[in-house]
Amino acid sequence: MKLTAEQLVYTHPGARGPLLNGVSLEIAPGRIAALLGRNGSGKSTLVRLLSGYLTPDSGSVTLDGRPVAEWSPAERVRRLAVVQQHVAVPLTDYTVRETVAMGLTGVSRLSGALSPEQSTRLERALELLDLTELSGRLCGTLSGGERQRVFTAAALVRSPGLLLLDEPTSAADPAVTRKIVSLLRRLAPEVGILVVTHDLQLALDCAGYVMLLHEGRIAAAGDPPDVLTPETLRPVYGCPFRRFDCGGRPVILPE
Amino acid sequence: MKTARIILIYLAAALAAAVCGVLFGAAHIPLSEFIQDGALNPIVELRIVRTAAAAVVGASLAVSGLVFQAVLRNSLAEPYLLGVSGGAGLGAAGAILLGFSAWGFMSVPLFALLGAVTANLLVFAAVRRRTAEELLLGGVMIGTLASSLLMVLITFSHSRDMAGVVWWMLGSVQNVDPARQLAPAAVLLAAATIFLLFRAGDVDLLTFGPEYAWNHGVNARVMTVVLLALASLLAAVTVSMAGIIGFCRTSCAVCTAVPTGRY
Repeated sequence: MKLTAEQLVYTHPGARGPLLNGVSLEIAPGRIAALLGRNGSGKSTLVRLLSGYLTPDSGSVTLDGRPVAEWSPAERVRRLAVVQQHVAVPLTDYTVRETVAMGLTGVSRLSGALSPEQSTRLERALELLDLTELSGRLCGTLSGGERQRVFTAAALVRSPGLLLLDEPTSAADPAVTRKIVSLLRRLAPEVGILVVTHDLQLALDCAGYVMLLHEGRIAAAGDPPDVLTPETLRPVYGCPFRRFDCGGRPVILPE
Repeated sequence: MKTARIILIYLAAALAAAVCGVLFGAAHIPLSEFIQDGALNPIVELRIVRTAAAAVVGASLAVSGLVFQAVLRNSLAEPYLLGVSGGAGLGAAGAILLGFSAWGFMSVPLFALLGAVTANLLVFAAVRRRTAEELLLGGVMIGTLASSLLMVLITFSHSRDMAGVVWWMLGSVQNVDPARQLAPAAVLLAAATIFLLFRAGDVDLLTFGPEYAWNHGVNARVMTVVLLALASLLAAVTVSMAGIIGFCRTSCAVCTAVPTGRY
């Protein structure tokens, strides 16, 4: 299973110039890729293009060699799952279990009844994200970090081959971040993962490949220790960085 | 279970209202006179038609309002948002003021339906991207334009015709034709309800926003247009049958959701 973007160009309606200008990348099982860049550099827009929600001005996004827009919605989401950065709060509230179950495909829309196989998937997704105890709670009563875990579980419940996560740890505490990193590592051999993040340490700790998005292009890409250096980060973020060695583990911080 | 209990209470209340609608009226008819000479008392028959019409109108507006509120994620959304009431009013007023009402009993409802559907189609044609927000703005624009034209027509009309237009706009189930109006409206309501029950999962996902729905396998743009068009058609048929009935904005969706703690 493979998601490939080639020479993507995208301009927001009414914008003067393109936000993304010739971005190419590939997501495949066996590797966690991290995408970093400044605020407004187009990371979330790139995720929307990869999921087919937005259509590029030019260039292509293919899922297993077929344009992503040509897949039927059900077939597409069985292969490719996306965890958004922001999800609208619905007018009526749903429990954690109901919200995660909405991620399943092929559920009887009339009765909402789950097959034994779907129930197993649901329980496993709840367990993976430490949500079993919260499963009866209404989502409106959860914290931002807990809600983020619910939406991640709703994406994982289909056991997709490819997973795009837009800032999955932005509202998570250090313990939950650690748990998510370990979960992604466990999934990586069989799931192609792209993590969009501002957390340089998260990229260093869990990614096998890093891309720096700057001025509409991938400014640098490669192994995290080679890419996440003060020299490459300074022109992207416009501030100096310092790298330390902490018991053999690289740590990078803005000065 | 709590939700099921609340739905049962509402169903019982609706049934009680319907029974009262048939039993009571301006004329007092004892139960013993409901059947006369082996046939239903004509006044009771009239009451049954009116009660059934009121039930279909209420249910249609409730289903339509639920779709609008879910898709637009706004508890102030209502069935008339996409220009239906303004268009229907303009159609009905046009029929009355231009003398088409003399063509027959069904001419005013038909013109009202035509006006509502035309206003609705104009909204869908006027907006480029057809997102929920654009449709909402287009609906307000076309609706306001239709209402303004209606005011112009009323201003220049004869006082007798003006009374007819205002009477129609107040809304009533007094003159509903069971075969030509009530039956088609009931069929549309049943079809829309069955469709929505089968696509309830898609509607649930749309309440989290179009991108979330897309990421879970719903063609959000197409589904938004289909749902809003269906909800508007329900409202248009209702308005053509019973005039511009005032719709209580705390719709049944909210009334059901509040007691369960989900709103």
